[in-house]
Amino acid sequence: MLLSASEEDVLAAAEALGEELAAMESDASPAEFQTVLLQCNEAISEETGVQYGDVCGAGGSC
Amino acid sequence: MSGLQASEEDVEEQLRTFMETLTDSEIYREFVDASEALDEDSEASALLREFQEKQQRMQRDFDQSLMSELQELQSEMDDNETIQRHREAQEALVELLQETNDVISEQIGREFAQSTGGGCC
Repeated sequence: MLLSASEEDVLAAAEALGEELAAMESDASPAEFQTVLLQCNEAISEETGVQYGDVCGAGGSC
Repeated sequence: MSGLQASEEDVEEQLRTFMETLTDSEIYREFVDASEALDEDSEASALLREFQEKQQRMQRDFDQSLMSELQELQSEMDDNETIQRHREAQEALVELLQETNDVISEQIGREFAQSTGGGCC
C-alpha cells in the first residue's frame, strides 16, 4: 500500500491510466469506449465521494 | 480471451492503481480530514448551512435585506478557521482532479471527465 502519495505520483498514475485507455481505444467501438470512460468516472466518483465529471468541468455551466 | 477483454482488464488495473494513489495522496487525505473537522464543528456547520439556505432563498427571490445578511454570513465564514481549512482543501483537491483530467484527456485525444450527474442545474 502506498503511503502518502505526492501530487506527482497521482499525475503519474493518471498518465498510466491514460496510456491504457489510449491502447484500448483501438480495440473498442466508439460506444464501447464511451461506456468505459463513463464507468471510470463513476468508479472515481464513488471512491472519492467527489463527482469527478462535475469538478473537472464536464457538467457544463452548473 | 479477446484483445478487447485484455485491454479492459489492463484499464481496470490502472484505474485501481490511480484511485489508490489518489486516495493515498496528501491532498486527498487533507480534504477528508478537513471534511471530518467540518462535520464535527457544530458552529461552522450551522454557519455554512444557514448561508446555503439563504443563498437558495436569494436565488428564488432577490431581497436587499437578505443580501446584507448573506454578506455578513460570508464575512463570518471568511473568519472561520474550520470553514477556511475545508475550502482550501477542497480547492486543492479540485485542482488536482482537473490536472489528472488534463493528463488523461491528452492521452486519449478527447475529454476524459464525463458528467454522470444526470442533468444540469
